[in-house]
Amino acid sequence: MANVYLWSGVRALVAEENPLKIDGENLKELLDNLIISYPNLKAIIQEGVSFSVDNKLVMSSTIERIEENSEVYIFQKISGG
Amino acid sequence: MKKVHVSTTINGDNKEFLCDTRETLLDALRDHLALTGSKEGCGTGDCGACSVIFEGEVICSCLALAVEAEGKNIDTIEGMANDGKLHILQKKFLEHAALQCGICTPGILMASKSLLQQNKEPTKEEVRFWLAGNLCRCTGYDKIINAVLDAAKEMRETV
Amino acid sequence: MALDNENKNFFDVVGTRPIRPDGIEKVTGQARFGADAYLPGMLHGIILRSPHAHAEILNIDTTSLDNDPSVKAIVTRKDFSPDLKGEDWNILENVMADQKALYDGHAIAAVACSSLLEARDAVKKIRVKYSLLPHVTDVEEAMKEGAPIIREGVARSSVPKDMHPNIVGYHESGHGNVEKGFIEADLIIEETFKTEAAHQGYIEPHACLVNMMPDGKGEVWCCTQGHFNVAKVCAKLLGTDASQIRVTASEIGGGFGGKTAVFIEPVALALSKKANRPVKMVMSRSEVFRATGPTSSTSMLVKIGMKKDGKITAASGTFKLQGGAFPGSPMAESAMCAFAPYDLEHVKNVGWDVMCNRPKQAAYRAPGSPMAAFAVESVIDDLCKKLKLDPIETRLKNAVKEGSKASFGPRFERIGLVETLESAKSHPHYLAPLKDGYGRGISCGFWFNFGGETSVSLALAEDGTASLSVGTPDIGGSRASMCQIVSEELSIPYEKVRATIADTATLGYNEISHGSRVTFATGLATIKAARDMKRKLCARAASNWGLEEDAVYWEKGYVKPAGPNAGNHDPLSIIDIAKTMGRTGGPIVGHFEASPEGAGVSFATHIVDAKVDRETGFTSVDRYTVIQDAGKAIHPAYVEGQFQGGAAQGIGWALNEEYIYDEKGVLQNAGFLDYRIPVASDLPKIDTVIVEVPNPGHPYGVRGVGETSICPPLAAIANAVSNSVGIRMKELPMSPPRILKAIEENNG
Repeated sequence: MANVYLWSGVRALVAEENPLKIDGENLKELLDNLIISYPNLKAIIQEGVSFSVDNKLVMSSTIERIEENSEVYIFQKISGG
Repeated sequence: MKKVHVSTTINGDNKEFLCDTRETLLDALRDHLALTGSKEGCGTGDCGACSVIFEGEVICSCLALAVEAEGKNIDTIEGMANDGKLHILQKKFLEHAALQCGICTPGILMASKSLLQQNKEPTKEEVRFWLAGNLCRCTGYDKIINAVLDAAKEMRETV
Repeated sequence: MALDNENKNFFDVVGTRPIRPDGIEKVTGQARFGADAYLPGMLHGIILRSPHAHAEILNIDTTSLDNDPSVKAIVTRKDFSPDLKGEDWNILENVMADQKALYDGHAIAAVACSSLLEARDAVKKIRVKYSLLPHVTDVEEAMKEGAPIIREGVARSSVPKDMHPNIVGYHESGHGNVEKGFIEADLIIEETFKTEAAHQGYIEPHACLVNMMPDGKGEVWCCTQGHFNVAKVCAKLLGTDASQIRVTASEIGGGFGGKTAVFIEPVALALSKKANRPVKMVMSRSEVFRATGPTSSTSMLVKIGMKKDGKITAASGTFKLQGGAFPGSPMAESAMCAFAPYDLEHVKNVGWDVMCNRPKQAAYRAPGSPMAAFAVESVIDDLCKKLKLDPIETRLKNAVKEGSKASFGPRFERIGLVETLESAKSHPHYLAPLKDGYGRGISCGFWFNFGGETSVSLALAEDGTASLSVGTPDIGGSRASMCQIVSEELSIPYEKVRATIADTATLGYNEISHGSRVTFATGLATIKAARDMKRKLCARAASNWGLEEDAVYWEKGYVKPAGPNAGNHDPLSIIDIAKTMGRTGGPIVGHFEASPEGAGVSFATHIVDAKVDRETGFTSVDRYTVIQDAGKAIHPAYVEGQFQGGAAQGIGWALNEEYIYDEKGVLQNAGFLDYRIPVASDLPKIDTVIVEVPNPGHPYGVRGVGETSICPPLAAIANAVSNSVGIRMKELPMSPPRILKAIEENNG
């Protein structure tokens, strides 16, 4: 189970404190499981999110591996110039 | 509208072209003579990317009419290197990494050449003010100024 | 062999300053930019643009062109794909208006004629009937009850219910409890700040030459930061296949984020499709200002609490950004970058995305971050002044380091903020006495940096030289860096490598050259492609010797037998292997395709001396120093160039550059005369210090460098102005009229 931290703007949607305990071998599985547990996050996640996995910033690639007890932060998608 | 026939000298070569009276010298260079080294950044004489030397004076070719080229001597960036040998300014711009995107470079080189023809030993301040009509958005000008000063020094030493 | 992920610390070629490989073309006028292409029989396209900020389009009457033989094609919105959604629809709506003109300069129709002069005449004969609507161009006004509605139903799911329809995005992040933190503070300062929109100001206007065949195959030549994206967008907007649109990137005359967006290429393709002829389109400078992306304008509220010893106890910020008539302003980036340099127990970042009757904002160098830094670093400076604290020591006291919790969530990996501050503290600029009347300002800045889809191919020629194909347009010298990397990895001379920007039919998808990603991601891809080639060279040599692959090894350009058991073979050089490759197994090509992550965030500290003339309100900048963590500088001269260029753009934004709209919402300064970017005589020498704290996510330690340099200047200059004239400027730009007004109010 990874420890998943959502940005505070959406925490109200899950009515639970950070971190959420979510399963997944990689970011894609983790997002799928997150949406299964919290269906009202679906729209926000589909609008675009970026991540950090154990402090490594991951802007879009969802194949990033998740370890047991990994810390995953999810934030609104960011882009550059 | 019937086009006008213009005979002119560009980079030492006799050139002829037909143009509309509304066309600029820059249009004629680029579209009729395939000399696309002079660039259009604004079309209003504010950016200097189209700088050429017209009868010995640096001008914005977007502000001159094509028909004004009749019987005149014009130097463009395409004539700056000689027999495959770069002008000292061109060489120094490369050594000093004085260009990033390179769109302003032809105009800045022509303006710098004109400066060094008139002032063999310009100060940093003089170079900055001379080039104030040539916009560069990439470099912050620092490496350009260094390249021009270094070129001036080398030109003085080689003469 | 562990070639793949080996980290390098010692270099032969990386870190030197060779002449760029595309240099001669660029200094002789031979380099071909967007507008430098011609095709036989080509037409010239021109766009008709709305003169109104907000209006319903009742009718577009082109009957006056019906019998005009010079007009070969006319297109309006109905010539584009009717069934797009989401951001695709937004892009199309910006490329060509549908029901409403949403801003001054919005495209309404386009014509193509045999000559440019004919096209200019023809476009004036189109009659458009508008019904004017009330408009709004200010971010605060646009959020108010009763403000003119740009479009309904656009708000993202993050926006609380019952807000004005112009409010389309909401962001909130942070940690701790700011209310608790503010109670612990000895001094709290809360201020509002505003910044006007600035344009990227690339000297080359958008330009393209396209040809659309009747069978749906399209060819595009254009200046862009991302030609693969151009192919994707054009295909969507025209309802065709991405692989049928082949895009070749011309040399690019500056972008800074502004050429990540697509404007004229789909219009030119639509004209070409109708006329069955090639079409060239080149924007005028006023079109560039009116219709292409400036950055967002902002309204910001920042509150910071500090202990007497300089420790920040809590910080909060609200960042409202308008993104033009479309969603997508970089408000989340503003919010997330704002306090990123500081290690805070209690922090709250809030962002609002707002629509106005202005052009669709486009990315501009570290989008969102410079404005946020302006607000935050101004407040920190005022706190230091009131508490009589040294501005660098105070920042050092609060600076984030490896392991610090970032204001946007995770902990930082290895970073170099402290190193830039320490370097600033001992820099001759910071130690030099101030000239009379001058004020010295410092500021920090932060940017994320990016990776993204990357595909490169490295082919070995029979003579042992190498040809590298990359898919990221070279904005500022990246080909030089890529050639250095290949030279470093293969131990062949720099001059023996040629780097080409390949077209969209040649390589896999490459993300746009944005987010400071090229030297990081394309550089990483080039390292991996070269290592892939080395593996293949080793395999080939082993096969030639009748050995297993693991019985050979690579050393400085040679394949050698691994030990006595491998037999007595003379080492084979790349040239030896290349010479016979055709008959020993075929061509040798190294390649890499992936979406690298781990770009490595970067920090900078800037120092500036500036003086305000109290009579005229004019601010002169006398000395400027940029100190930034590059991770590892591949070509230091071009890294310095990025530092200097970002600082120069920041100085322009701080002091002069702004979008000025009149009461009708019409842009008043759509030209370089009235939108004045810094010229050579405006600027001092911009000194640079390259700090190298390696990025753990890159084999050489490279971080992106292109964007961070524009983050500190706005605040650094505001702080210098405050120290020069004793007035805190809370609005950008700090133009003479604004400074005079502030001086007057201060005296009053």
